[in-house]
Amino acid sequence: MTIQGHDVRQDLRETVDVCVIGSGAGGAVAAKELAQAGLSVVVLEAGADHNPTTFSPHTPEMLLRLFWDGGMRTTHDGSVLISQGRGVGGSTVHNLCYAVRTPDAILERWETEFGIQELSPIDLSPSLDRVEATLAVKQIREAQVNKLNRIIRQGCQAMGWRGIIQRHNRGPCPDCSAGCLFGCPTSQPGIGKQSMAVTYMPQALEAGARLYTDCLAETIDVENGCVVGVTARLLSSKIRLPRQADTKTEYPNNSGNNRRREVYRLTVRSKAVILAAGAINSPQLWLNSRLPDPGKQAGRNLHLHPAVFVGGIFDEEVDAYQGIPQSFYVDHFLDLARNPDSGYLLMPAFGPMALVAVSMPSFGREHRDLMRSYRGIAALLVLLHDRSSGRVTVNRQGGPVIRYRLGRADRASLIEGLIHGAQLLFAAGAREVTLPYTRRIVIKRENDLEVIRQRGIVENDILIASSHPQGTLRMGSDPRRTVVDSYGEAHAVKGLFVVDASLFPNSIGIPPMLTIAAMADRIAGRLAANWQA
Amino acid sequence: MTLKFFSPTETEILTVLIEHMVGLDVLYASKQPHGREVSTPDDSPTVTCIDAFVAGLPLNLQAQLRRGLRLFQWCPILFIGKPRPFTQLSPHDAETYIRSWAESRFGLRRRLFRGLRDVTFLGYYNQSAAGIYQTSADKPEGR
Repeated sequence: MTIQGHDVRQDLRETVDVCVIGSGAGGAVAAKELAQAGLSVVVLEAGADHNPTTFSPHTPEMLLRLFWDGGMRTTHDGSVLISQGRGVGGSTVHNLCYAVRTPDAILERWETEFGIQELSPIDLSPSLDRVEATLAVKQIREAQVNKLNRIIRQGCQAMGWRGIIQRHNRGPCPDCSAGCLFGCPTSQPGIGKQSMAVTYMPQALEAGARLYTDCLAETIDVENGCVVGVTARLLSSKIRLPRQADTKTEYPNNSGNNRRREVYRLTVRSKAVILAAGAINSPQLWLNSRLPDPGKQAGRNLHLHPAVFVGGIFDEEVDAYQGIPQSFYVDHFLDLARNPDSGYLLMPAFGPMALVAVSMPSFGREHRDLMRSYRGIAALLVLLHDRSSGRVTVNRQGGPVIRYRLGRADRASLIEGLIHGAQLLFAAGAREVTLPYTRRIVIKRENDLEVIRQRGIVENDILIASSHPQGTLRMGSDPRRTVVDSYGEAHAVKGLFVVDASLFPNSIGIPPMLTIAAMADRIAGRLAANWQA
Repeated sequence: MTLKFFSPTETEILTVLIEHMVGLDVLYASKQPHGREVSTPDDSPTVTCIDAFVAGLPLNLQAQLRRGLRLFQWCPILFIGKPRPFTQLSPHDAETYIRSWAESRFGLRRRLFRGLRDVTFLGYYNQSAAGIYQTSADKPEGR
């Protein structure tokens, strides 16, 4: 059963076994597993329950509907733009479906360095298998590889680097031209993108879970060291603009501004709380709730997987917006067994015109000239496996303050990645390479690449984006260094579990969806087993 | 049509900003030999789109944008020595002024430049999402 927060006109109370905060890659899995195990479950989701058929190609509208802060969330100094999903399914609604299993080297490192028990590759494998089955993860077929990805692969092969066609959580997928990034309008069970919104959440609801949408958890309530429930605010989800028949500008207000309505509250009493609001909002909620944290680690250890766009302009039409945006990636520079702390992926990247415009340098005539090449652009992202770490704190209003600064070694890696990305694009036939600096630098041949080193990575000079925040409530055996134990339960609050990317002890280096879901499966499975015992 | 977020003054700033950020001033100059074509703010689909987008953002981001627009309007005298608001600068001075923000030594100024630039691009390229070079006049050679 789904209750839309903006339809509620009174304060509400719920008494259940488990309250799950968030319905993304972690929360949806936990809700389904616990509900199917016979526990009474309520799920609180801050965003809306979207009908995929209403997803549109209008960038501003979809940013407001699907992302926290309308896609404008940044670090405190504005230097990193952080995209995080909001709404049923969380970031799995807008992500591009890379379904990558957790590298063995990462799990082994977490086990040895952080004392995490029973998390070897063999231990996690059954959870990964179950998640893959539910999300219908399959190898992308050659016929599904679009021209953008073929070009990136061609460049990769010409450079003699290693790269692979990945597996995705998607069913049969009609060509919908860049709809992928804004939620897949064809998404339904078995067809199109298999996000949590069309896989795990419906199964959780079928098993008896109750879902509150437009419902923002404000505090996790604790008594005598044990969790007792959650207090949440029910949100208005529409900003009331006048009807405008001639424009598509009646956008949703998906950012919590509640200016036109009274506020109603939901009080949930539960024996356990599963925190799965993502690596920014989970520590925010933790800190706002003033939960005990002996090691003062909550909010620390933030990793972002910072990513920078490298665009290649080709003489031929690439039409990169057509087909599946990401199917191949270059993992030649990410060797986690040898260099567990560094490396990067080169991933194809593209999007609607408005987002590509933001990723292009300069302004005015120069920018306009670049945008004329829109159909001839093939681009990639350098996605950094970052050693640098930041911190999430809260301001006086309780909002998240995200501090993060790239360290020297990471800056050097990112520069190397940009140069390699440019070399790949030249090898694939690009006539010019562009980088998202505030000022355009003309790079027309490999000899020009030294300018990237000279320019360096300077805050707010180059656009850096992040879609994978992680690590802010990390797991481990030592309460002085970590926040939750090997099974996600808070060291200092009995009954409070974390099942999102906040858990990761350090950067995972790869797209994290499958790992988050598998960890949630593992933790929920253990909780259900203990409950019944 | 009435805008929901921007005041008339802010709308005027935004309109001129869009023209320079997107490069419309260049197009206008080439197509309108007697000077820049002046948009009527309320009927610009780009302004309407940006207005609706900003109206849906959290209050703190709205406030930052509002402060940023006003700061941008009143600082030409500080940064390029022109005692006029941004909206009254010549196209050449306006470009010099915007570039002074884009390439400033101060991160805060570059941040504001990026924020304003990206919001104008979101509005403009969403409106023209069917393709910047759909019209033959804009079509680059060889395509």
